[in-house]
Amino acid sequence: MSSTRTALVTGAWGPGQELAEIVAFRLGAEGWHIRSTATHRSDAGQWADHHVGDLRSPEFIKALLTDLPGGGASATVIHLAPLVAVADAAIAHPGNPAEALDIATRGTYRLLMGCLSAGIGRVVQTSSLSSFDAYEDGLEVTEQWRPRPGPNADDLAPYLAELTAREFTRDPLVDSPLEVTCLRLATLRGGDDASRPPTDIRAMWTVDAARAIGLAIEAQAIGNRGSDRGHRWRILHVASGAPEARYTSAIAHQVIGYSPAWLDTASTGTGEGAR
Amino acid sequence: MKIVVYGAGGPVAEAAIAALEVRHSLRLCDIRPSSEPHPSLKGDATGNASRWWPSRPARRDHEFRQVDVTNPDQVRDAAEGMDAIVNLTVVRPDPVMAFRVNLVGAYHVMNAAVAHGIRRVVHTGPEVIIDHYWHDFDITAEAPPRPGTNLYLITKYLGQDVVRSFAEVHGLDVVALYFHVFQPGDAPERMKGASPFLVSWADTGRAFQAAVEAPPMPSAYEPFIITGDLPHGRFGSEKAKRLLGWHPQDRFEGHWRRPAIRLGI
Repeated sequence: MSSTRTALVTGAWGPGQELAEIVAFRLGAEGWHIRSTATHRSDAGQWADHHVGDLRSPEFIKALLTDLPGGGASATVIHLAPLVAVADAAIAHPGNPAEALDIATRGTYRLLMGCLSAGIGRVVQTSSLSSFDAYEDGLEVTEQWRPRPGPNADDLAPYLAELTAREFTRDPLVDSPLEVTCLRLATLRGGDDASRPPTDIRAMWTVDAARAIGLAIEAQAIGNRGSDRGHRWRILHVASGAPEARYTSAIAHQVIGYSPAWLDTASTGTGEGAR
Repeated sequence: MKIVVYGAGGPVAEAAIAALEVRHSLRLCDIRPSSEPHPSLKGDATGNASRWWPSRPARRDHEFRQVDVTNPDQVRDAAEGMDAIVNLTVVRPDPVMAFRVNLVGAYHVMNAAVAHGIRRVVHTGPEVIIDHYWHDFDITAEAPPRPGTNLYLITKYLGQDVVRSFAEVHGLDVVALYFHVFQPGDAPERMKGASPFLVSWADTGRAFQAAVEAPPMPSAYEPFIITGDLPHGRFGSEKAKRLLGWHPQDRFEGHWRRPAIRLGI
């Protein structure tokens, strides 16, 4: 595998750190150069070329996207920051969670503007399935359902970051629109025992989220957009894959081959049972 | 009715206030002190301001508060005791304040509505249905927004979704008025480069009056195209007529005549 590809991982601290770390280790093992960023220092410095700064700053973005090993064209952004925006706001603006909306949206906007300038064409962004919690649990909610985020920062920050990124894939005034895969994740649960699905129907293991990110990157490299009717925006729901899970991962299974690690070790072993 | 108007210093607010102050009690809020007019309302030596901007024939004094819409406490306090909210706050080119005013500010305004039990909120914004529907016709306010990456349009679009979320979850009654180009009703020529999505200042004011006074809407967040009755068949105001009882009076007929006919040749 070539070592001239760079994965730029945002949101690599706090609630995003474990996911960032697993993604980085896996990609690093495949020869990717890992550059990470967050608003705070973290253990990411041990496994990545870590940059501390604010994605809302054009100057920081410019520095962050400069001198990428392999160049921008071979880089992929793994944008975890929208899931960390509420934690960022809690530190920078205690008592004013609405600031997370600015952090998530303006940070995404500046980052993706920087990608256009740097020639980076591929982004895998994370969002949250919490935007669908308003639907009653008995409904089989899929990617074809309209998000219904609650009027709170936890729901709105990742959802509005989605809307921001989608425009970069379809603006006719942009010469080379981005290709963005957005993974709406169930609530992440860390820990070592991923051999069984989590008991919380709205939760998933962080290792499985990392797995989905890796598969999304591979699928972008193949370049088949047929399942998205040719659009450069791909949205996939990624959850635990358990039969009782609140949200189905069936489309992610079909499109990028996602199945959770626990299913691989279960008696079926085929991954065909992924919800 | 007691109405708080956020962003009360700009030209659109001037048109809204002109219509609202006839029958309602207003609390005007703006980030600028009332003694400092909005830059676009100052006019110039040629008298452009008086010629192009809205007038207030029934002008009277109102309570004024200096409010920064990005400050949640100021926004919430200003809504206390009010029956309705009109949000006209906007920042266009500033890469920081566009997000903070158009998006975070909208969040604070809606939070204030919930905090004070105010159901009728008149939200405002630009159309986000022109560029991406450039070759389409019969475009309605329900067309999915397509702001592109334009800073102003995308931040107002995100703000709309914040407002919609509050409205749906809290059962509010939001009237969202979408505008594009404003001109005086007697403007002799159309604005250069403008799309056929045009309304006069006087009709703009009447739209706010209708939005505040209209009966409850069918859904928690109802968007409306606010344009005059223009002959192009691209954007229509049928929904505003039906649900708000708003009927634009200025048709700008002279703008769409062939030059020879316009000149009487």
